[in-house]
Amino acid sequence: MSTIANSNPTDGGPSRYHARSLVIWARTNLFARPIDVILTSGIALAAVALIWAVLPWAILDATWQGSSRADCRPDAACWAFIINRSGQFIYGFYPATERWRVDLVFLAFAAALLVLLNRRLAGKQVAAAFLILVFPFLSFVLLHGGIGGLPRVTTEKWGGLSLTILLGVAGIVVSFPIAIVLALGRQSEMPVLRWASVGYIEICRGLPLIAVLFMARILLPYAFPPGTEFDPLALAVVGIILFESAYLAEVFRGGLQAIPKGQAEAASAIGFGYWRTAIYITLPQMLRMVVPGIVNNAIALLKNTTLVVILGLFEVLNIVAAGAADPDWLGLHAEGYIFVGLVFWTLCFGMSRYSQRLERDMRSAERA
Amino acid sequence: MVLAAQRPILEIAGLNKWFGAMHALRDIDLSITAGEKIVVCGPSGSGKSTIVRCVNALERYQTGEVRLEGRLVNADCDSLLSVRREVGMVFQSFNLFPHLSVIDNVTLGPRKLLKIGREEAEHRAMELLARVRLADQARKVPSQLSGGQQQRVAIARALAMRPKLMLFDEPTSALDPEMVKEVLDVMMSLAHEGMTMICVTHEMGFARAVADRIVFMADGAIQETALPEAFFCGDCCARARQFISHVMKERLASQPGEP
Repeated sequence: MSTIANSNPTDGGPSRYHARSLVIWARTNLFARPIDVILTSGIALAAVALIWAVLPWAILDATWQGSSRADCRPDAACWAFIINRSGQFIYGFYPATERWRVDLVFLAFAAALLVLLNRRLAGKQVAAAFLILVFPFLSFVLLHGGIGGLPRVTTEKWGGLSLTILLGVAGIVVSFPIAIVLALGRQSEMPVLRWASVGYIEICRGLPLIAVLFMARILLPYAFPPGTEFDPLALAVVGIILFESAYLAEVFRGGLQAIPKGQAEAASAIGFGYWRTAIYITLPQMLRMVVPGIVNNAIALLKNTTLVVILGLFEVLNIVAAGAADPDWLGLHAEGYIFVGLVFWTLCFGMSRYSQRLERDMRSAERA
Repeated sequence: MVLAAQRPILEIAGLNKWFGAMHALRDIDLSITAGEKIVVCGPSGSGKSTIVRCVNALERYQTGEVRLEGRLVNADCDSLLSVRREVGMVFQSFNLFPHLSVIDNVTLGPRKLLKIGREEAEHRAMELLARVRLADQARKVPSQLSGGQQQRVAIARALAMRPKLMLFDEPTSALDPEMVKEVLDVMMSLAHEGMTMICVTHEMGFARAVADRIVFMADGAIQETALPEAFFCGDCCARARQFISHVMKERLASQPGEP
């Protein structure tokens, strides 16, 4: 009875109504039975104790400005380390005067992604074509330079968060078309094509990425004349693409198999051949279905990029770890790893939330 | 002229098909002239659907031949895609493309295969949708339509390719009883406009009203080819009579309100 009376919006002002309904919600969900009261207060106490213990170290007594470890209080966090080195953590050893090129590449990527993912913006096909066909080459030319008056920046200078994102984006964007071909190949009626696809997928999927990278570093030189030098970044990108395309191919195959057979039959009955059926009927339906799988893979891949340390590359985790070995900032591993953890968590959580929204939008689009 | 008109649009000769060890079609011979309407009926598993699926080579067959206007139709021939464009098909389970709006379902084939511009294709699609009385639903997606509406969109989609022959594979079997009529009405008006049709259906009222010939199948073979008058007056084989009375009884059972 009291619920009915209290849920009347005319009862008091809107803010009062809101506060009241919050109390009711807490009463019914958090304090309904004695066991709920015990659990709720126990967890609340634990949370308060944890914050009480961490807050002084992390925020209240922490040092935010300084030029070396000596400026920091020894008993609290030294965020000055992160702030002081943020340029390096983001851009690696990329020359400071050329960092605009990195910014430009990410701006272009973000713009294409925005067009692709925002339902209200037109030009999805152009954005997708740009992202898959133009963007990889454009970004390489821009980052590497050596053409059109841009100073050359060799790949061992690339690093930090921008390298992490670069590896993740390159891994997904380049793997995407390869994985579609592999998934279609795996379902092909031509035995040679099918066996080749199955063989590729099963071999690359059965190896840990770390093993692929080790092989690229240790075994590959044996296969070439002595003295042949490989760019470590190129090895990392190729290794990641080999690995990622096999995983994505399986995600896509699952989606293709979930499409009712009648869809391809209806397309055939109209007169569509194999490619038109794939492009207009099966692939668009498949891609809608596998959004959660793609995002799941992207999250896993982003975290896997830390393994390129094997090839001597300094992506964000390794550059922060290296920074903590710098005599000026020696021993600040805790701050460094907390920072890296937050960076990865933010990126992954963002992707995960976005994919949830995308799924919701698509469900309502098919209904509405 | 008369001779040309009587030349069959579709000729099926000596058709045999096996699903593994199961002999699904036995020595089927059937030919249809332009404008003719044929209803294929028979108990389930008798091979009715398999015949229409062989006409546009959705199924492979092992011996015999299917010819559309003299051109051989089988799953391996080069002209297969062009033959399929000239044969419209309506499925039991509609098979609309769920990711496309109703109008895009109808215009996709004409735009991509007949290379008709979007504007003209949409104009023609709207005419077809008006014909199946769904012009007001053009911008919706299939999942928002009822089964009967979806099946009518599927008919419009098939007609958009301007087919010479329409195949209906149990178009009303998946529908709720109250939606059967709206689909049959569209099929009847299509028949009256002179479309050449092969319909696999159990709707005997429809068969009596539009069929030029009724083909009765059982066990993968054509048991009887009869004019509707003869077929429904019991002037046919015993199995067909048994089938008709069975279907009629089912109709009565499902519609207790009608006498």
